[in-house]
Amino acid sequence: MDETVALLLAGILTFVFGWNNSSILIGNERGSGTLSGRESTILCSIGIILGVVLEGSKMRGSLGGTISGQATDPVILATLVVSIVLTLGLTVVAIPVSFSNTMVGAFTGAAFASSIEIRAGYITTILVFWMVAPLATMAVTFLAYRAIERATASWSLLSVDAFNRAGVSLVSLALAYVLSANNIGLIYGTAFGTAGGSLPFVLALAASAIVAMAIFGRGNVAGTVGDRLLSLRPQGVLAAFSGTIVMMWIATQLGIPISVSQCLIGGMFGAAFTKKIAVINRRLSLEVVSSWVVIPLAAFILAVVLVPFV
Amino acid sequence: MVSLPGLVFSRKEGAMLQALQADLRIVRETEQEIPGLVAAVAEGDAAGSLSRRNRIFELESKAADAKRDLSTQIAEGAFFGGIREDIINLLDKIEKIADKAKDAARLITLAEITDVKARDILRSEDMTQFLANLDLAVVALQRLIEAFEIDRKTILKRVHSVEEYEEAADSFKQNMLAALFEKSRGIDPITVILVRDFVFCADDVADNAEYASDVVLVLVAKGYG
Repeated sequence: MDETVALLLAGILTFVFGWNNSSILIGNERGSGTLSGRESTILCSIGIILGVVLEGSKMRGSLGGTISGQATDPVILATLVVSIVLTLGLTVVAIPVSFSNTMVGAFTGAAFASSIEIRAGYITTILVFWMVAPLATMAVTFLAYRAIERATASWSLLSVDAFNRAGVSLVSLALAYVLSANNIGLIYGTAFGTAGGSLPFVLALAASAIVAMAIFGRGNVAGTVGDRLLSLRPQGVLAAFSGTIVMMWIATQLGIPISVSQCLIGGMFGAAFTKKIAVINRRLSLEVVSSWVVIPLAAFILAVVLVPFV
Repeated sequence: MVSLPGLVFSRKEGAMLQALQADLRIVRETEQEIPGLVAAVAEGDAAGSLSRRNRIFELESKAADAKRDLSTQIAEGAFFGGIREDIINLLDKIEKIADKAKDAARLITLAEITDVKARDILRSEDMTQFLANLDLAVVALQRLIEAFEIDRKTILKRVHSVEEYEEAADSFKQNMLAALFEKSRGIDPITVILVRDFVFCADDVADNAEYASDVVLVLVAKGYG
C-alpha cells in the first residue's frame, strides 16, 4: 500500500485513538484533582512519544504476520478503514471503544474475507489474554492498593496528598507510555508492516494522538471511565493505573494487542474491592464489558463486507 | 513540612496549610474579643462596647476576605486531590466561627443593658467559663489543623478535644439560661431576649468549631484512601 495513504489512515486512526483515550490519559488525573489539565497533557505527551519510539516496534508483527501470514494491501486497508469508522462513530457518541479489539476483529474479518490463512492458535492466545487481563489487573490493583494504604497509614495528611500527586504523575506518564507502545505501535505496525515506515512517521502518529488528546481531554468520553463508572480516591486511581500499566507492559512484551479499558476496569474494580462500600455504576460497567465482545464482532463483519470493495 | 524523614515534597500543600492556619488565627482573634465586649456591656461602658464591637466587625471582614482568597486558590490549584471540596467546606465552617462571633457582638450591643440582674448574668462565672470554652474549642481546632502535618492518629485524637470543649460550653450555656429565666421576673423582656439570643449565637462559635472538626473526619476518611 502507498505509504502516504497508509500514513494518512494511520494518522486519522491515532487521532481518534487520542480522542477516545483522552479520558484515561487526562480525565482521571484532572478528575482526581491531583494534576492540572496542562500538567497532565505535558506528562502524557512525553509518555506517548517515548512509548511508541522505544517499544512500539514490539507490536509491529502483532496482526500481519502473526494472526495471518503476510497481510495483503486490501486486508490492511479494510482493517484501517473499518477501525476508523467504528472507533470514530462510537467516540462521537461518547462510547468508550477498545482500539485493539476493534483492530483485531477488523483484521481477522479482512483476512477471512481474503481467504488468507488465519492462525487459530494465536487468536486463541489473544482471546485468553483478553479474558485474563482484567482479572489479573484486578488482583495487582488490589495488592497495590493495600500496599499503598499500609505504607501511608502513619504519614501526615499533607504527605499522603503529596505522595498521591507524585504517584499519579508518575503513573500517568507510565500509562501513556505503555498505551502508546501497545496501541499506537499496533496501528503503526498494521499500516506499515514490518519493513515500511520510519521514525518521522512514528513521531507524526504520536503527534496526531497528542493533538487529539489535548483538544478532547475535556470531552464526553473523558468522564466515562474515571467519573461515571466508579468513584475512586487518588490512591484508588494510583493503584488501578499501576495494575493496568503492569498488564499492558506484559502484553506489549508478548506482542499482544490489549485494550487499556479492559485492564483499567479490572483495576478499578480491584480498587473498589478493597472497600466494604464502593459506588459502582453497574449499567455502565455492563455496557463497557459487553462492548469488548460486540465491537470486535462488528468490526469482523464490517471488514468481511468491505474487503470485496477494496 | 512533612512527616517523611528527609523529604520535603509538599510545598504547595504546606503553603496552603499555612494560609489556612493564618485564616484561623484571624478567626480566633475575632472570637477572643467577645469576653472583653461582654465585660464592657456588663459595666455599662458604651464607648468600650462600641470599640470592641467594631474591632470584631473588622476582624470578621478580614477573615471573610482571607477565606475567599484561599478558597479561590484551592479551587483553581491542583493539590489536595480528592479532598479539595472538603478543604473548601472546612474553610467555610472556620469562617462561620468569625461570622457567629460578629452576630453575637451585634446582638449584645443592640440595646444598652441596664438591668442589674442581667448584668450579673453577664458577669457570672458561668458566662466566663462559657466564653472561655468557646475560645478553647477554637484553640483545639487550631491544634487539630496543625495535626495535618503529623499523622492520622493525632488528628483523630484532636477531633475529640474540640468536641469536649463544645460540650463544656454547652453545659455552661445551660446553667446561664437556667439562671436567666430564674431571675427573669422583673427584668425587661427585651433584655431577656437579647441576652438569650446572644448566648445562643455565641454558642454557635463552638458549634462551628465542632462542625469544622467533623469535616476534618471526612478529610481523614477520604485523604487516607
